[in-house]
Amino acid sequence: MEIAAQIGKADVLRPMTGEAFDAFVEARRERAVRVAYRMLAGDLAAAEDVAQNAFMRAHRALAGFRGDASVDTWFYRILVREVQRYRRWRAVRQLFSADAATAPPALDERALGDPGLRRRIGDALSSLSPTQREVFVLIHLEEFTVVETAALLGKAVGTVKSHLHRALESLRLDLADLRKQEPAS
Amino acid sequence: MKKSESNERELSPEDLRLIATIDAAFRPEAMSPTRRVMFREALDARIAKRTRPWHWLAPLIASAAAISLWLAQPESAPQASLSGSDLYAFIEPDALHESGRYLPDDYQALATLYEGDEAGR
Repeated sequence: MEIAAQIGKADVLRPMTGEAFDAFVEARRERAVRVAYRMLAGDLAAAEDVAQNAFMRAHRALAGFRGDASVDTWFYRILVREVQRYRRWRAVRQLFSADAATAPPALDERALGDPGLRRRIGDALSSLSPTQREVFVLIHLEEFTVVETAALLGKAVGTVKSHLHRALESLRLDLADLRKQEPAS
Repeated sequence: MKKSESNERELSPEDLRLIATIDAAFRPEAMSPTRRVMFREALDARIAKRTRPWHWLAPLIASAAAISLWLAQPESAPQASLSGSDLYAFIEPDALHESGRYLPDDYQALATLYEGDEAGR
């Protein structure tokens, strides 16, 4: 849903307070958490933390938003950066903590579907490089176009296509059986 | 699932099935109203915390105060670098040459004995 349609173009250009920011968060909360959840391979607590940080940064930065890009592209770019920041922080933390490095990622009870299948998919996504995972999630799961994804990640369209191709190849191998069975509704 | 044409061109039906399975199985459940409220409260708390000026001013003020105190303290007196014997000589210049005067009586008696022996040789 376009932010301009929801709260008016003029409101976008002002610092968001009260109802306007409520509407902004309401329109993007579920998707923001879902995108972060998928990019972080199924860690819901981290995904909510990252989404809140992204909204907080958006709240501060909306005053300077010039409207050159779509609000969605702008906001999800902030979100992706927050995901990357969180991943770097987690990597540093794991470097200094043997327990965190060896502990398996927590399987979240508040997610949908078969936990075993979710674990397999999480492992397969974890085996991708961060950029491959981001590209796959944004394009194939979140339905951003290649051009939008390139803008979100600050990469060339060709680079995005290359990462997407490699991500799909890797997932075809890791989850070969899922290509033959109908998805559970 | 709606995909852009450029994305669909390279996907086989098997690939589309794989993606649909991942999409269906790998998503968090929709937030309950309680969780939505909690999410928003946590976000508001984060925004409020971030906008408090003393949040980042406090360490700055503490550092400035510590530097001011350090600069304001008087210069400390120069440390004595005299050895024990130098100090002794400073207090009583003749004492080192008349050490016998400061010996206890027993040692004084022994010293006299030795000095007597030396004189007898």
